[in-house]
Amino acid sequence: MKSRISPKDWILLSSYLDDELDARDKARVEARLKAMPAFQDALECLRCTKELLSRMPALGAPRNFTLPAYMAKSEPSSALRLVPALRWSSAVAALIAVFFMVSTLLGGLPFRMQMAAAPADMAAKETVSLMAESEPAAAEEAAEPPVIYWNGPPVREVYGLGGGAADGIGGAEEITVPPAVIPTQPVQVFKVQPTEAPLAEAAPQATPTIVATAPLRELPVEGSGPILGIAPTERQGEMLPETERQVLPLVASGSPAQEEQVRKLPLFGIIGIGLFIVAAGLFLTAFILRKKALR
Amino acid sequence: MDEAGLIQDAVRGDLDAFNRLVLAYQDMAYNIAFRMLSDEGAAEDATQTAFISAYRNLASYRGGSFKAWVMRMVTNTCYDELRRRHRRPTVPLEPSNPEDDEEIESPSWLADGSPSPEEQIETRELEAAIQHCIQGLPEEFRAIVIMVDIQGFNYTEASQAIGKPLGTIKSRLARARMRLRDCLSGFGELLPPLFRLRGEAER
Repeated sequence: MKSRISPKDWILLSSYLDDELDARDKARVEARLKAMPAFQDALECLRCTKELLSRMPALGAPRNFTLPAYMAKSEPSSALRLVPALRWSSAVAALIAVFFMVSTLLGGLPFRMQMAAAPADMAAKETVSLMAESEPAAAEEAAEPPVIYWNGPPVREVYGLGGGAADGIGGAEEITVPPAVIPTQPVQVFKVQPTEAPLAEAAPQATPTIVATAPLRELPVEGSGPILGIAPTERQGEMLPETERQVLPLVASGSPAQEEQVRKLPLFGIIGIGLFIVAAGLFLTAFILRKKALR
Repeated sequence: MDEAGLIQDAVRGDLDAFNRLVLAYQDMAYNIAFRMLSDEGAAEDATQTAFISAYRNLASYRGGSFKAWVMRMVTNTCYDELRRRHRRPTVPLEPSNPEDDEEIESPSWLADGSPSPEEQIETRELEAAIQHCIQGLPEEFRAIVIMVDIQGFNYTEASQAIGKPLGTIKSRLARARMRLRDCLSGFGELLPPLFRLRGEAER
């Protein structure tokens, strides 16, 4: 009998009992009540329950609950007054958070593009600056090049023995050969002796071998500067202060402003997230306070 | 009593006007609180707290049924008390089962010093049985049954007082009545003959 009445039917019957159905539902229920005895029994059951409940005696209030003046004096919902302020604070915090997050997301993009375009530009600038820096030195070098003199000043008049490009004097220039100057010190003489090949088929021609006939003399090294200035062993591998000054700025990624911007990017993100949390917290507090105050 | 005028005065801060409204609704508020909490002291506290809360939040009253608005304060205060009880449960000194033999020695019997007539005893027993069944309902069902079937609210007022849509009120009320019917049928002899016959027929 019960199985014929669905939960929806119980709701309909309960509402019918309280006369809370519209005309269409009411007519439908009445038609089923006439057709189905189980439906009528269910309605009677609900009616009995309702009647029993309505028999419960009404209790009178044991005392008056009127509010004395001291209760009325207390601040009416001071927490409720905070709600608008909390809501506004939440909104402002959320806006600032959005600003920081957008700055982080979009602010990094143009900067990265700028960085990507920078190498060529920077390289060009660096080349120009290096050239500008090296020009005076080069001019000085051209004016007074460091020259190593072997056994005293060379015989400048003799050209054409070593390429002839030194000192800007080329082969095109007319050369007048003065009489040779005999050096004051004895010249080392090297004898070239042909060596016999151990195997005729392996070396058909004799290879000349240089053999010193006199001990090598240490020659004075004249001049100074970067050409043959080999640092002592303990100082090898060190970076010279001048080189350091010139090279390090080139190695750095960008200008100080750009570096500052790079450092600030993750900081902005953290601030944004923090502000989002603050905004959510404020909103939640306002919501809870309002809920509690309305109770 | 011009309720609308009293409400307007109360909203403007007239405590006397508000107290006149309190006097008009305090019985109903106390009844609901007592049926919800099943404890006189707690019902008193809840009623007083609800009226204080109502006075402090008069600015949030947006018209409509003032009775439903005040009773919403009462039911919410009762929900708070019930939640507090759930967090800190206590063991009652009275036996909760009215069929228990210890019921004879319970303070509810000893409270009334004069001997009661048999009919009065039956009424009290039936009332205790109904109260017991109401207490067995889930809180959200309990408030609706108390308001509609005991206090005589219509569905719209109950909807405003509970803060739920009409469909929810209808559904919860029907289910609450079915549960109460099942619970009450267990009390057999206490029930009126009509209810007993229906119950037996259904079995």
